[in-house]
Amino acid sequence: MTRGLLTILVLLAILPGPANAGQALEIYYTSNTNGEYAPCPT
Amino acid sequence: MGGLARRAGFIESMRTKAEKGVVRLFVAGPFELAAPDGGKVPAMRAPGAVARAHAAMRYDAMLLTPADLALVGDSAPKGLARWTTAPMQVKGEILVRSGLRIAFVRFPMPTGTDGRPTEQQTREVVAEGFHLRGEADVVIGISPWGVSAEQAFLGHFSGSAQPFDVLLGGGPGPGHGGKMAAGGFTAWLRPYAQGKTVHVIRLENIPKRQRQAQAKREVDVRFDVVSLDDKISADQVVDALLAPARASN
Repeated sequence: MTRGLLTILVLLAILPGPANAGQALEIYYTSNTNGEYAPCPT
Repeated sequence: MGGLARRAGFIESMRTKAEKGVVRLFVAGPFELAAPDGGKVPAMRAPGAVARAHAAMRYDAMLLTPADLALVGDSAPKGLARWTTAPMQVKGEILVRSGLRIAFVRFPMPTGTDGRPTEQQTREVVAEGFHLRGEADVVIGISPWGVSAEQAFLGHFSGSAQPFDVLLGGGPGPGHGGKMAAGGFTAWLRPYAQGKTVHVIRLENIPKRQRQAQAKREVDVRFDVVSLDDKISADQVVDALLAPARASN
């Protein structure tokens, strides 16, 4: 029983996750605004 | 005009720079050609050339306002054609990149008093965002509403469920380098005026973000601002496209 559980845990650790697991998304954005420059977001 | 050629050079360098597990998107928001206050802008000197330069950048998503479209005219270059419907109604779509499902919701032009969105428009944007949240890993709004309306919109959701992971703002009002809003749920960004920077939002561990949908997740979001100064090489193709704009100076 314990050996079976250990086997499952090992398999879960080494099998690949979903295609997007741990992915990062970088968005590069440009646009236009007007008004005073606000250098320090609060 | 030099800034646009440098922007193209920077975008191309990031587009071709592979990083394992990272999806990169390039998005242009409202008033890329026109000014939010209706004033004079460099694109007026040669709007066709500026439109072709934007088309060459192959944005993943774009929102052109009616003022932008008036400068583009009837003969939009091929690369901009899919963005030339004025955003009079909320419009959502899903892009899939490397298995990541990314929803974009283009906010409609505000039609309420004082240039603000109506309650009906706000409800429609929220409904579209929630609809796409059920189908996407990340939901991103692009807004031409201006700083006051965007702040009010995000303020509605403090402490309650809301659909947008990211709000890319634009239009009237100042820019900022990025901040967390809506009770820490939404990364809100408004670029500085006149397009001399590229703003970057990086979201880490997307599936984890989904499972912790209502938690504050500032640690998962990083903001950055890239100045388009002379350290960035200009894209030669876009630089050549902009020659008519320089010639009319």
